[in-house]
Amino acid sequence: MRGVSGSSRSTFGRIREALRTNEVLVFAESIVTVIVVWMVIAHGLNLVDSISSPELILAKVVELITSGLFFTHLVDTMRRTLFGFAIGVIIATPLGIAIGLSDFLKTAFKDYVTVGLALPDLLVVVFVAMLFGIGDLTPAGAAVVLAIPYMMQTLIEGVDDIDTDLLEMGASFDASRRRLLRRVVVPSLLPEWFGGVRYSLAISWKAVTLAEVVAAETGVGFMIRKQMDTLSLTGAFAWTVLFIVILLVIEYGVLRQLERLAFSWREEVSDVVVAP
Amino acid sequence: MSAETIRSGLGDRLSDVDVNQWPARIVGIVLFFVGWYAVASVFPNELMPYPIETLRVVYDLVGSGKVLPEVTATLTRIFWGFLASMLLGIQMGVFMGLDDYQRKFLTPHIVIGLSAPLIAWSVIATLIFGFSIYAPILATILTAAPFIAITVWKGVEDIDTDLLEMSNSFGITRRRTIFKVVLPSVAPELFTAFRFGLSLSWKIVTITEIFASNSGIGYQIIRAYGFVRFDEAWAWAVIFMGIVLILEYGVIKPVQWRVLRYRPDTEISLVG
Amino acid sequence: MASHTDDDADGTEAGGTRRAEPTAGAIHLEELTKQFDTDDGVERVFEDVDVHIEPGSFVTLLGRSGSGKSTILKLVSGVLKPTSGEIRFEPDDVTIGYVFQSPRLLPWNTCLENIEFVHEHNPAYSDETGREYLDLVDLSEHYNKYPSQLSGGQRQRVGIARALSIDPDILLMDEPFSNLDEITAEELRAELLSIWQQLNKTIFFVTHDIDEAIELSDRILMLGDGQIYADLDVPLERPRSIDSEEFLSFRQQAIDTFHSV
Repeated sequence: MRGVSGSSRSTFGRIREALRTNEVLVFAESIVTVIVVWMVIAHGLNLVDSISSPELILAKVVELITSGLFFTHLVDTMRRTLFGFAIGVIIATPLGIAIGLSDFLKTAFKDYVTVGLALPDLLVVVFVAMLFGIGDLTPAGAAVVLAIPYMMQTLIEGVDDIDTDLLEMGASFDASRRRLLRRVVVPSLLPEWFGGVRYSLAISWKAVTLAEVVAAETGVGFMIRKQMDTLSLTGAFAWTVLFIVILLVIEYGVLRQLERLAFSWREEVSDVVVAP
Repeated sequence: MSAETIRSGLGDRLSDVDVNQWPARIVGIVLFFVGWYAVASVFPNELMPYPIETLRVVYDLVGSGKVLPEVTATLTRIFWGFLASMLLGIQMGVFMGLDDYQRKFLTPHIVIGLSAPLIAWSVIATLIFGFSIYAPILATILTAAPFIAITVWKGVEDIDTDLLEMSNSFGITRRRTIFKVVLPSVAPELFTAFRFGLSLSWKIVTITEIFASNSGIGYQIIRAYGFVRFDEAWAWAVIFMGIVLILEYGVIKPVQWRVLRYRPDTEISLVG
Repeated sequence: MASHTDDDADGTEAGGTRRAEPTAGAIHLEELTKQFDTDDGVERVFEDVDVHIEPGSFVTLLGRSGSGKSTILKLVSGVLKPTSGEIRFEPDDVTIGYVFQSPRLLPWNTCLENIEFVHEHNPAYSDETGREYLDLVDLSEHYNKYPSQLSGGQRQRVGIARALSIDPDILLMDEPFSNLDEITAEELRAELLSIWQQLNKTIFFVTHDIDEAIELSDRILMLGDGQIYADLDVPLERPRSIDSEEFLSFRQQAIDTFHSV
């Protein structure tokens, strides 16, 4: 502990310090504060019906888990997400790289990417729904359409970021094109590609859950929408909380760890962001 | 293999002001309509109308006066929601950038805001506020403010304190420092926040309109879909994309160009 | 130390333990002209440059920033093509090693892997070779480190090891020490000289630093105003001391010549 104000730091002082600076503790403080304030307002002002209350949500969460209902629907949502996202990545990766490498293609398709990024999710969902109707294909299809522009944008920028100095260095040592591709271009693109993959996954979740509202009969999105029918705000919160937890577990528990392992040569740490 | 071939083989940085751009872009745009036409000829007409038919429906809708009120409704919600999000988000971002404790405190909320599915916020906002304009506004805040906050935070973090010291050592007034040093420094991040915050806003508002209103473009599209009047749905979509494109190219791009003029290669890329 | 004219390039030099026959190449630039097409018209970098560098010599090209010295080096290495004129080598098929101003290491590879990278066409290469060269530049503890784990000076050493590892007849060096702090640079210069004396390579060195030029080379070519306007032999005996009288008096001469354009 820092001993700026002398060596005799009381235990109380140290605890106070930790509460202010320790990441985990502050995180907990933050959540606890919200929960407490919420409960106070809900019960104190008798607004439980309007804004629900943490203990109710918790009860509902437990119910959803123990009854298995959450996992039943989660599986469907995950399946559609993974399917759509995988196809999106498979399509967008070669496309994005090819476009990034060619000035002409880059200019020709610049507007596509701009429009693609701006597409309201709802539009895409409705149109894919028109094509595929109710079922798995609509959510997966929506994920594909919405994820591709992001993946492509990431790769186009990734190609731009390739260090031409390194290519020049390779050229001055007579490296073949193949060598340059394998040892310079691909390793350079890999971290950015991975970031794009993470991003696309996040987009896909959102697309799938939205599509489930419009064109599915199972899935987390569908269930959240169903809470509207019973005017159950508690239910909506419960489903949302559970879903967020799963998302975060995958993002931080799996993906970030993979990333750290694969790219241990990097100095910088990537940012704390999940896709908008 | 000469450096020149390497450079041309791997493309140059995208330059916005380039006279040779247009032939390629026109090819892209033409390709789009050709593609639409081709797909339309393959799919049955009710599913996928030809471009010209859609335009006719659009024309009818505009003529019948139905378009303006819907567009206004949606735009109003977007405006207020986005405004509230920017105010809240910038505030949070500044706090996070200036004070470490605030940053750690606000981070979980930001993460939650960013990871929740859009419809979750839509449904929750609607269940709280019912059938009113406050639902889309709240939904927008829950969706866009976290993103704006994190973007602004980055910008504030990156302010070069050396420049501030320099400014101070010359006795520059606080006001002048803010306008001439701080704002230009955070301009790119502010712009990113503005741009993606706005696009998030139109996305979430259209979704919320399904639940919390009986007006607006999102509502009309879902309604047309529900009545299996796909040509109408297409028409509304075209109208909406028209507005989106006007915003993108008429507002966002010019501002982007102005804001980034002096920076050689700032990428307005997605955060993270 | 005057340049020596060993055209036979036989293996009888001292210190050449690595290979059977240390070779050094000669460089001939004849009527070399380079110009670039820019938006504002044609930019003539230099015109009708004639340079002959003898094998095994250490020749420095001295010039201000922007004088085109790096361009000449790039022409010699083949990365750029001349507008007109000729570049010849003796023997014809020389191997050329290049050391850049910034290390230009692949950040995702270790030091060893970075050396291996330039041995694509070399079936005889093994990790042992790479390690030998890293030892040569005093990086024995760092075979498996990544560039991000090294200091600037260490990275530049890897760059030098990499260039040496292909056993070049000619070593081109483009201001390799100007991005380093003076102390590290001084160390590396001493190392470079010792390696040069061991391995007997031709070194064509570019810099804007006149002291560095005098300290290192047999011969200084001064580039300015689109041409080589001076060609000085450096008559000082090695090892050279930067504050000895002869050094200082030669230095004054050189400076005067440098500013005469």
